Amino acid sequence: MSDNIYLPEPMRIVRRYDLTEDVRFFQVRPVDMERALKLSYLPGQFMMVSIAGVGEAPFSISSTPSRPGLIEFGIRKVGVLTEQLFKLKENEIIGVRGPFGNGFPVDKFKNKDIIIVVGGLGAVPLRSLLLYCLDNRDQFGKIYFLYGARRPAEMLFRREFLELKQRDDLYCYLTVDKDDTGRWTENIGVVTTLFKKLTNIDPENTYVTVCGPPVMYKFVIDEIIKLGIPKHQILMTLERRMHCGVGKCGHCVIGSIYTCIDGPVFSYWDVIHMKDLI
Amino acid sequence: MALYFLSRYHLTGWLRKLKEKYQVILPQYYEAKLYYEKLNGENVLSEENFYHALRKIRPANPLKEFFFTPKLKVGGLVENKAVLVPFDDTPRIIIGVKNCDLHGLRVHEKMYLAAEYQDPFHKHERSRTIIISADCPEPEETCFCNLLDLKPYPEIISDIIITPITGGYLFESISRVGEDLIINTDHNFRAATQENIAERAAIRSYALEKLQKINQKSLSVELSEHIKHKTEHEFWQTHALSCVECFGCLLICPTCFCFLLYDVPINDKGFERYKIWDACYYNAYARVGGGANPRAEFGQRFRNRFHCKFMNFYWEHKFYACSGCGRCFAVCMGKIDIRKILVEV
Repeated sequence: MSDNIYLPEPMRIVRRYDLTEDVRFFQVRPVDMERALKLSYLPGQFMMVSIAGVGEAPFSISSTPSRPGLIEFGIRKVGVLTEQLFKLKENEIIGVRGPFGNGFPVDKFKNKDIIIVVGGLGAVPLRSLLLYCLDNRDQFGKIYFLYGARRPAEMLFRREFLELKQRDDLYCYLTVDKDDTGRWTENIGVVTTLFKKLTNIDPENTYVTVCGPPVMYKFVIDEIIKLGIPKHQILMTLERRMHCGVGKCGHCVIGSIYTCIDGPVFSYWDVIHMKDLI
Repeated sequence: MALYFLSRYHLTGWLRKLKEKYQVILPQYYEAKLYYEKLNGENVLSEENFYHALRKIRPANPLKEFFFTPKLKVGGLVENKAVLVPFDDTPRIIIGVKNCDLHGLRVHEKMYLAAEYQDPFHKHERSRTIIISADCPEPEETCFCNLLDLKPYPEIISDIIITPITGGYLFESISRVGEDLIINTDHNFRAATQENIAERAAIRSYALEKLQKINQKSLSVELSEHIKHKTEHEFWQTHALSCVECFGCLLICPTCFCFLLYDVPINDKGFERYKIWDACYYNAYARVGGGANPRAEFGQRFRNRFHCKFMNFYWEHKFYACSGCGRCFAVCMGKIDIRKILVEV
């Protein structure tokens, strides 16, 4: 990143396709190839994406730093900026700043078992962590991936995750709230119904990461607590209005915490000690 | 470092010499109100005005204007090339800064310079500025720096401190730069006498006494804890009732540092990015893309201001992000007195 912390760098869209009806996958690359290969980040970090004259917003990185060169985002159409983003085609240029945020403490995860719990759009940041762990498979213990979506058509990266089920070094459990296709072969029910598949968990030796819609957290955390996992080993990534990304502008402040530099990854311990965090 | 005396007669000569080499900014009268203004050919420099301006409290506009302008171009991207903003390298001197504004600058220093990421613009503005601060001999009804353990005379950051005394000005050089400015620009400075120094001491103790009379109720030493435990929404809601939501208090605050980045398109070729003052009272301030708003009610946003200034900043840096300048309720149409809330909490 240059000295000017407010200046975006140009990145080219190299690939895009729809993940679901309203979520699109974007693969981008810094225009400068050398920079593209050097760009390093952590799973769980985010970047500020902007379009000329429209605005700027934070998006979680969905790709893994273990596969450098390309940055991936999964973006839902919700507002003015994302609507414009959806109109962009391959080879068009967007402005990107970052990476920002603390990211997941992957060093602490080494030799530990990892449970990744995902709801809906939470698959975007946690896919980064999942792929990172799989790319460095020898560094981690058992890996569990639990993903719940509303309907099969709303499951992000559905094909990719279904393929992961073939692997024997990972426990991949997928679920949908409701199957409207009649062809869904996996579990049906909310994401907490997958917890009964978790047996022989060694709580002291396990890290759990959670990301999903706000309503999901309470129920999922209840289940995780039942497993006996210590509060500081439960990590979640939270959403606030990150704006400058560098802990200055004040928009993402929750109490004394700047989500953009102290977060967006927080432990459950932080959350119960901070009012208004979720 | 050392104390000097300059007579009223010689002051304008010294200022003129400064103007040859520096851009000079000082408090000027406009219809009985003071504003920090650049000294140029148009505004006539009168010693009489300067003397009275120094004896008044802080100017109406906050000092932060000169380090972070309300609208600042920070760069951009045109035809995929970064737009670099040229820095203005003219050295400048700001004269007549009161302790409350210096304190505001200290808050900005903590936010913009003493952190993981540094703001290059603030850093540059600081590097080209010499600060000549001044005593505040006549605190007014809106002043409350004493409640926040600040003094009505400069304690920090300054290069030189000036005190208007009988027949002239007492100069105290604080930094090497300040010392140079005194001994190398004018030969009319002479060493201050014991009398001059005693007069300054008397002026300072008078100002302190006056402040104590204005603000008789002192704040709790555990103010941050009280604010933390004041969780009842009704308390904040009641105090926020008369607020007309003009947000003048936040924009004029010398310590408020929040900003918004926004882009202006340049003929489909790219955009320029601006950094503008923002206020945490705006409804959309913390709203996220999906529409969720962690501080949807005004009472919550009102409380957030107190949390920011008197709790979180205090925990982090051991001083309050409020300078007691009183601009926020001087400007308030709803007559919300921050002192009242701080005492009640």
